[in-house]
Amino acid sequence: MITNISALININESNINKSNTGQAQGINRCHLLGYVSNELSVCEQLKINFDNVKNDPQAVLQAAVKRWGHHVNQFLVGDYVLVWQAEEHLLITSSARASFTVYYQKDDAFALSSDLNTLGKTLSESQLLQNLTLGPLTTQRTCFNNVCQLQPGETLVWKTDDAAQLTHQVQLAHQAQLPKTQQVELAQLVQTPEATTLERQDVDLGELVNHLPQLAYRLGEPVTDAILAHFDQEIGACVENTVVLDAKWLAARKKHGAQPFKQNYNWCKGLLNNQLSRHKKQLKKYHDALRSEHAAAQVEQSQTFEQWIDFNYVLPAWCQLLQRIARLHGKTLVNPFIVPEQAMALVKQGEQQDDQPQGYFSLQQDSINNVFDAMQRLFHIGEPDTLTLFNLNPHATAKLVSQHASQKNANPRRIEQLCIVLLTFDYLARFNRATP
Amino acid sequence: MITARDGIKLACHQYLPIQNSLPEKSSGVNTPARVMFLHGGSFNSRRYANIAKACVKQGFEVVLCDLRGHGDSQGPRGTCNYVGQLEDDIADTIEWFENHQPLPLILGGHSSGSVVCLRYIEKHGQDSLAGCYFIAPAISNTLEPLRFDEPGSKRSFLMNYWRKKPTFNPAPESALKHIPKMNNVKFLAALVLPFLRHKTVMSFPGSAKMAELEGRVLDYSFNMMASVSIPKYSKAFRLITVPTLLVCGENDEILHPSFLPTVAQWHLAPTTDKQVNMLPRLNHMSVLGGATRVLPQWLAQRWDPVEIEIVKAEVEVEVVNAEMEQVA
Repeated sequence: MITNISALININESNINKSNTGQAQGINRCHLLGYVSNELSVCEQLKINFDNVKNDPQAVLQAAVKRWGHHVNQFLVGDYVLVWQAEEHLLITSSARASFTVYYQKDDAFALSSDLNTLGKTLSESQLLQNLTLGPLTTQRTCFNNVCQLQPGETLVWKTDDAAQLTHQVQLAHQAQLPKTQQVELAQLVQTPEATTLERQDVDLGELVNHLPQLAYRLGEPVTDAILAHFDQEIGACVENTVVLDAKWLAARKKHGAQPFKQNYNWCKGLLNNQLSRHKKQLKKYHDALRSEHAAAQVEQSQTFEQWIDFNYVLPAWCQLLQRIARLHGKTLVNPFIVPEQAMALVKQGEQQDDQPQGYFSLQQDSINNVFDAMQRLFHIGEPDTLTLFNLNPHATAKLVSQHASQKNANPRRIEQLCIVLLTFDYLARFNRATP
Repeated sequence: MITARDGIKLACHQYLPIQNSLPEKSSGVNTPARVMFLHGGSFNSRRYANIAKACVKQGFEVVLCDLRGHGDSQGPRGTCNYVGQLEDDIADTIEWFENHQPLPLILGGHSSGSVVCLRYIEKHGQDSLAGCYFIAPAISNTLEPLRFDEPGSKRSFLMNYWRKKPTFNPAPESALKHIPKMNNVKFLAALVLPFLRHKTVMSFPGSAKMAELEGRVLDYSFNMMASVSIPKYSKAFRLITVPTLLVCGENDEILHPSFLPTVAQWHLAPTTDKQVNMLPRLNHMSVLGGATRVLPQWLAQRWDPVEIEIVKAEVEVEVVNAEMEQVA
């Protein structure tokens, strides 16, 4: 098993410039973010003596990419993103159902990074609307218009005249994604490393509120739930470098029922200004496409739309988010939910209403620590960018906040989530980390 | 005494490390920075001599300013000509010192003195500042920074948030004796009728006799009260880019214990060098004892600590133009 050879990939202009002085650094090297769990079998297939290379993971990875090229993720099993920077091309691939993330951008210059903050970006209003209504889903799209995300099981090959000149004349030569059925088959083979489980401890709510802005700042995008800040605190305090993800951290992911799109949208539409509302059609189209994909997929009769979307889009997106937070602390999060049995058990468990967490914050909290009051205060102190996108007049916000305490509310957490997204969005806008 | 732009004389009490006062050495040679201190509402510089002495022991020059109408400064007691005049006075004072002896300037204060500092940054920017500090900043004209609810809090909450206030946490008797009282009717009248803006709208607790002995001003006019208030504090804090210290007692009668951590995390820029010290068991006034320890440490960590250690061994304090009085 290859572990702890993860590398933070950040091929930006400054790195490339350094590379130009003499032999380009990183050329003909593999960068692995995550781990491969079938290295013995890989060595057998490559006809390499495992004993000779078990301390040299680079040799195994290079032999694998040279042998299998852009099909390498069908042979290397695990949870990883692999980057191979060769003389005339750059290969980026991720394992089936990978929970590690890399972003790439190709505008004037090509950039590839595991850190959103290193990329120039402009906010995607439609993606912001998706986060508010459907929640984070694994897609190529990110919160920013010009930044894409490598999807689980996806492979991209970028052709260039010279790998040391990645910032210029880069062309996409190959793009493919493993079919979902193949991803499930491959994910079944993953053996997760043993490590300590990261469990949930009690949290001070005042500290939790104040942890949100710095998390948003480090992530480079708005925070979608307070549990992410809680997770950030816990993993930051954890002494282990590799920890296993506990199911309790996944309870806050957005559940999608069989309800039509308008029910996902209507509850918050009073707060959305025209700039956001005009993306409603696009989002509905995306929601319908997901439904069609579900209908077309050869799924078991028992797998409902809710289960299907949770298994394929919601759960992987949450795991990726948690993985990114762990990486910000230089830690590896072992995700046992890339194994389909574990994930399906969680999906079925998630349907029980008792599992729905009630949220962290209440209206009874002191105003300074109260995310609902803080969201309403944005009407007076919010950034122009925030007020352009959201209608935060006290009448609209008070009506929404009052629903939080209402017994009729099917999902009390979603108003808290909305407040957190708005507050962290405003914070990023204030300090120029997200430019609409 | 420094002459303000309207001709009023403003008193500044300057504390220098002994080397700097020697005639053969030019003033400020061994002084890494000048610390300017603005006193709290109703008080004057006398009360803050201990903080000045503690900073001088670390090798810093300290200037305690009496706001107009307070202490040894001229001007009608408890009022000013227009809202914002105090910031202009600070600007004049800074300019005077810069012209006489340029030094990196660290500006701050206690209670409403901190608020005046914040208003100065909002109005005049921070080009002339190397750092700033806020000791128990009394930001009291919005609801959320307050530790306790006032009688009118429910109404104010309803007007601001358009829903009922879910909780009500009134101040206990022990806290009420430290909290100034505002006359809402007079305040509203002054808001509408400018000629009433020199009349008293806010009164500080305390006996008139003791106040006279201490040189305190117990009554503030609309103009003075508005000059030590900052409703949109968030917009001022976010401007700050210089190193910033925030200090408060955990038992402060005015400020909520979470307020300064919230300011540091939400309102100050993430790249700003900031430090928050919440001092246990101290209240709005006794925090000054804690600040006597925290402020010099914070200064020494940021401004030339090596040289200060040398100075510290032979330090003596000379007081220029100030009466040394023990803190009450």
